[in-house]
Amino acid sequence: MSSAADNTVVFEDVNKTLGHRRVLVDVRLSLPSTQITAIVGESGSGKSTLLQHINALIRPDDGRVLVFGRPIDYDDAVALRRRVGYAVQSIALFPHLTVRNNVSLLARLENWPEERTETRIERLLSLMELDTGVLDRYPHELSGGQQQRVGLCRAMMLEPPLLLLDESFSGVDPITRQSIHEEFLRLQQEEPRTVVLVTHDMREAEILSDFLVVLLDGVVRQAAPTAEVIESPADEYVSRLVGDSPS
Amino acid sequence: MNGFLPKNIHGRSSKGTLCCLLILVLLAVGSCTSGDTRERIVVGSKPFAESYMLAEIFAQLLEAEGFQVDRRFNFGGTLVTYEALKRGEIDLYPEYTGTITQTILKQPALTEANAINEALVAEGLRILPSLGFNNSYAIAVPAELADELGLTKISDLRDHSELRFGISHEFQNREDGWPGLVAAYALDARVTGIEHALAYQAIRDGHVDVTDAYSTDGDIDRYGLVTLVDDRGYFPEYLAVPLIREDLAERAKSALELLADSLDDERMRSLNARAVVENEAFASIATDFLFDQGLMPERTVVQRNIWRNLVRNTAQHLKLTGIALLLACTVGLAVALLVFRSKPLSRGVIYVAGLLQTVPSIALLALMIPLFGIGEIPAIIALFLYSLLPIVRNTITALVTIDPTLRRVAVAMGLTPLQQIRHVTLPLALPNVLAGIRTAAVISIGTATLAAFIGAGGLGDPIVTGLTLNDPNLIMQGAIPAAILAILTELAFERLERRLVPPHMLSATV
Repeated sequence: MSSAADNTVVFEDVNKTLGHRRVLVDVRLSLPSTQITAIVGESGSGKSTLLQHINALIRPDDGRVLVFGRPIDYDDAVALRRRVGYAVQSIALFPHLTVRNNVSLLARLENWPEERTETRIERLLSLMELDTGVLDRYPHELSGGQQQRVGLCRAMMLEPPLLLLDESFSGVDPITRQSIHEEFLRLQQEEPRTVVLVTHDMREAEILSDFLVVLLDGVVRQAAPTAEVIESPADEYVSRLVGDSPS
Repeated sequence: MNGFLPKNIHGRSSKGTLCCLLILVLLAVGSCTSGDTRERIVVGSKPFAESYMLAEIFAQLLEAEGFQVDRRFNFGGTLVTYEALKRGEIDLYPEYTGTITQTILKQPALTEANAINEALVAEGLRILPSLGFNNSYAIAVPAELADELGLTKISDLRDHSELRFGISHEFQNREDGWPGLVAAYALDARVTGIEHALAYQAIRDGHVDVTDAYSTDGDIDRYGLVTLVDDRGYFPEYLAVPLIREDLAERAKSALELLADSLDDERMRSLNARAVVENEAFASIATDFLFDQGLMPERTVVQRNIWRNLVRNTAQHLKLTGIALLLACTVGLAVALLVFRSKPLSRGVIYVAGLLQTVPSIALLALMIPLFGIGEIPAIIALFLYSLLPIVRNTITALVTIDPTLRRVAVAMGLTPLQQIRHVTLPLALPNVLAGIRTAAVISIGTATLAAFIGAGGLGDPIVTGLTLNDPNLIMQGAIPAAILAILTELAFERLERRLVPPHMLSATV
């Protein structure tokens, strides 16, 4: 395990242009270790692009990104990605693999011993309140909520010190969503890790996050502990965004 | 629902591709050549009964001399066979002097064996002394009629202008055929054009009295005909000779020379009749002949029974299609994986593969000859080209329709490019890819029957021979196993798909 200080994510003056659009503008950020950071903003604000810089899916035009205390080595992105869990909104479970094989794919590629894999799967399943009966089913046989839980299990299989969630809790009914939130927070207590969560839902950000980044048109409008952002928004836009939240 | 799933499905998809390859490899393992160290001679033949007979006689004679003989019968025609000889893919085949001078050398003035050999020496070829018979055009009449009218030679026909002539279309139109004959013998005859195959029946049924024939045609005996002597020497000589490569072993040459003048027209005719009329196997007729001739100490020849042939032909067939399919899978998958991200490239590749598909199979096989010669290799290459389209097209289609999010997640999870292909891209494409391979396999098995025309063997061998001999039994010996093979392949792939593809992904493709 890396030491706590290693698990921060730092953006140093990152700029990114996609096509003719400047998606990220002079982003400077330092995300706290072993805490949950939420990146919020409207769609098109650059949230997902920001997130995908962390696991090297996207490379900055200039500036640099530091993960685990080091600038990303893009020639060895595979090694980085194995230590960074990733789950997306559409869940994207592999339809040709059973739940067991979806969750354990990375462990098999890492040549984990069978018992270790089994133990890990069982633990993840129980933390996410999933029945072991789902293991031999295919993704299309599961409910939306079950699929999301499986997606999270897959992302956390290798016990990554860093976890990226891209709208991973949307697309299910509010009750299911609430219980997944609870399970996720319990998991975070059991296995604390640095989590970066992208969401367009301010309420979800409030419930889950310790640290909040507000993004508008690729510019960071405010980055501070969540409570602080709510109490003293940096500007009109942040105030409006925070105010939208019904809580 | 759960109960339908196999119990041990752990890692099945990664094993899937391997399993698939394994089956293809098994398909590819065809007949193995024995580790025989005897000197090898390859005997060829043109595709008609008399040529098979002579080639089989050559082959058995050489076997009796201690050579290991490969039989490459069923070349598509004179020029294909001659080309094969020139390239050294065969060492000898039976040919006719008239064909050599007129069709091959295009020097019809040559008649003497020495002169022919002088012309052939530049190609490293030569002819051995004639076997004795002259398979030329002949004029045939029923034996009874000949007795009655005292007909023995062609000029006798002049006195009988009442006779009805049924002359084959080909003979009627050849310069060295009917027009020349009429001029040479000053015949005055009533002529009906008729299909050669029907002429004998027409004579038997009393519709015509005289027809053209080949002098050693087995049907002459069958229909009780006699041929009239060409007393003015009108017809060119078609003396049967072994046409050999100069570098053939001396021992083989001397053995073949023992056949000189061993077969006159009548004897050749009776051998042909045994094959064509009585459906006797060429091999046993050849053995009888060699034994009677004192050229074979005992009748030791292996009776080539139908099952042995069947097994050999099927194995060869599987070998041709299996290797071609394996190549097509390897190349097709690789190409598809390389180009599928680019739409114009994908289109280009599919277009080229489609173009190959439009070339008629027999033409594609013929095109292979100048490039790769004859035998297995050109056949495999042609089958390979044919199999490419369904595999490439299905694979590209499968790859482009994969949900891009799944591919992105595979990257984000930290799969290396190879792992992405093996664990995500290929398994997701598998149902379509397998369907493509299945189509290719079935097409190949059908097309491979044509490979016999360029000497590659397989189940096409009996079909081509059967077509030549007009022998439905022989045709069936190739056609039925080929059809069964195609059906079995279809079923095997169906099973394979069920094993490799999860049921919910299967239903979309069937």
